[in-house]
Formats: sequence, C-alpha cells, structure tokens
Amino acid sequence: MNDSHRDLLSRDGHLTGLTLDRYEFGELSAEQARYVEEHLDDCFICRRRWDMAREHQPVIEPPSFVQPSTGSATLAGLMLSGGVAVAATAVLALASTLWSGPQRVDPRPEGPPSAVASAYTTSPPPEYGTVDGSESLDLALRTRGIDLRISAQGQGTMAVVLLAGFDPDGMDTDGGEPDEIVEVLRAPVSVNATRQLTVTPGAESGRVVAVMCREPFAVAMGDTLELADDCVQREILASSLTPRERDS
Amino acid sequence: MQLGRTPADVALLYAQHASRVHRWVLRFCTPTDAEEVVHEIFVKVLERIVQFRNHASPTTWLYRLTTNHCLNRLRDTGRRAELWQEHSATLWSAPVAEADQETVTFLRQFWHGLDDELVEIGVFYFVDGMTHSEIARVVGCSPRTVGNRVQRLQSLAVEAAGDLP
Repeated sequence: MNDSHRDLLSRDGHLTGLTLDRYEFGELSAEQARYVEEHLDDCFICRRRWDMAREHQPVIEPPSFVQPSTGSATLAGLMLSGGVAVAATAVLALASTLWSGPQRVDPRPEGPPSAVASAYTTSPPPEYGTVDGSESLDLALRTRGIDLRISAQGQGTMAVVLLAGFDPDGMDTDGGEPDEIVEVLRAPVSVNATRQLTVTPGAESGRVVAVMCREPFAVAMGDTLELADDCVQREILASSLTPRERDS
Repeated sequence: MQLGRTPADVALLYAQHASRVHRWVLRFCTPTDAEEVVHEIFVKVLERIVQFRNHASPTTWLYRLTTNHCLNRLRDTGRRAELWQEHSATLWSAPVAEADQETVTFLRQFWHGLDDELVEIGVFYFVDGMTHSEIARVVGCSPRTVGNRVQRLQSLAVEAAGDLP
C-alpha cells in the first residue's frame, strides 16, 4: 500500500465515506479506483457501507415551477433528469439574480421526447472536449454476480438505462419500441478522466445499456434512446448478462 | 471538473450531488429537516461557486461545505440547546476505532465552545476517522497543522476532563 492508497483509508483501516463518494463520482485515479474496488471485494464492512450509500436515493419533490422557453426551464429539466428534485425554486431564482450576465443555455430542441444526447446545450466545462475533439471516450462492462460494473474513460457524461426487450433476430419481445427506455438505472453523471459505476439491473428481459457522450444529456423513462455521433454505447442482455458491444 | 459561475454549473452540481449531500446532511439533521438543509447548502453553493473554480474535487468541496454548514446550523444559538440534546450523542459517537474516549466525551460536552476550525477538524478526525493527510487535503492546510489541531483537541480534552467533578 503506497501513500496515495493510505489516504483512502480511515484510521480503522476501512475506506472513508469521502473516499467512497469520490470513487463513485470518478475523482480517484485509475490506480486508486482499482485499490478501492479490490478493497470492496474483500471487505464486508466497506461493501455494506457502499451498498447503503448507493441505495440512498431520496424521493424529493421536484421544483414546481418551470418557465417555458427560458434557461431556467432547461436547468429544471437538467435537474430532473438527474433524478434529484429537492425544492430548487430559490436556488434558480437566486441564480438568475446573482448572475444576470449572458448565459449560454439554449432552449431544449423541439420535437418528440427523446434522449437526444445533445438536447441540453449548457456550456460544458472546458475539459469536456479537447480543442480538436479527438479525445476518445470508452466504456467497459464487467459482470460480478448480479452486479454490472461500468468503467468509463474520457471526459463527458454517462448514464445507464434499461431498454425494452429486444430479440437479436429483429422481433421485439415485449411490445415496446426496441430503444424505449423502461428504466433509468443510473441518471447522467459526469466523468472526468475515469469513473466506475455499479448497477444491479434485476430485470429478466431487455438490454442494459451504458451510454457516454461528451455533452451533458438527459434520459427518462418512455423516451427513445437516440445518440449523438460522438457518443459511445455498450450493452448487455439483462437476462443473460452476456456482453455484446456496439459503438455508435 | 472545472466549473464556471453560471446557474447551469450549479444545476449540474445539483443534479449530480444533491442525493449525496442529502445523505451527508442526515448525519447531522433529522430526515424532516434534511431537504431544507440541502436547499440551504445549494444556496451557499451559488454564493460560493467562484471559490470552487479550479478546485480539483467537487465532492471534497461539497463535503466540506456541507459539514461546516451543518455544524454552523447546530451551533446556531437559537436552536443549539434543542439540537444539542437531539444530536450531540450521535454526532460524537461514531464507531471510529481509535477515537480517544476522553476526547469524545469532551467534544460531546464542549464542542460548541471550540472555534470553528477545531470543530471541523474534530469531526473529520473523530467522526469520519480520516487521516491527517486526508483532512489536510479537505481543509487545505498541511498535515502538520492538522496534527497540531488534533493534539490541541486532545490537550483540551484532558484539561476539561481534569476539571470535571
């Protein structure tokens, strides 16, 4: 164990809560992330803490206001897409008061609901893309029991969804549209260099799809998954957990 | 992650971290109050987003901001007595193996009389079980400074214990 690993642990030898949160948010180096994963595999206490933290998905009322065709509307949509909805009225009201300068927030594109990766064009942080846009995004899936671990590389946003059942021979097996999102397993989160996520689909049919795009995007149940050209997608059948990959 | 100072940046932080902040808040507040406190914290995020710029770890920044906000809330004179009764035992009794019991006892009784920095470091050290170097990273000082603060806390604990009947 080197010094960078020692800082991940509390004085009782377990991973600190902050370490787990930084791991979940992809703020650890690849080496540190590997160390955390190995520790989680071996330590029941930390694994339990990790599971409990992941299970904490508070149900919070969404903001009641949405101002159509304003930046705030887009922001509210962005918040909702994250699956979090603490009362945000004052936050956004304060935002418009405090920062009245130009805001590069474009209205959501018109058209049917969809998970268009570039639907939200909030100005991305500078590191979301390189000058020439050539920095590659990558996703890797790894099964571990009933869990699916997704490792992302690059800088952008990733999400994990369950799509309607789809027969590889071309027959839709459950009557839904093949690319219809039936469950959002992990709302969009940012990736800064590397990030690992673990989901437990628990579905007997359909496809578990991990998506990563350079730009922030939204996903919602009932939407159709449509990806921008620079997005990367990996998927497995929920029933078999047999990886099959597809780049888009 | 580098953020600017736009509402969109705060919205992004909110979307990504609000549930995490809610979980942190629950260490200090009742579930009934938690949503309100999360809201208060993100108002502070709006006010202080400039300080976040170029910060390497949004999680760490938010964690510190959340901890301090919750501690300040507990220290609020109007609510102190009530909240103290309600939360103090929990706050200082987290099962950190090496936490000195005498110090924990001291902190339970006198923590609200300490200066903010000592309390903050005390939480990170005794409740979260962080090492000196991790606290130093979170707080933005040297590990040596953290060590000095922890020593001071322990000295105060010994003195206070000596004054107890």
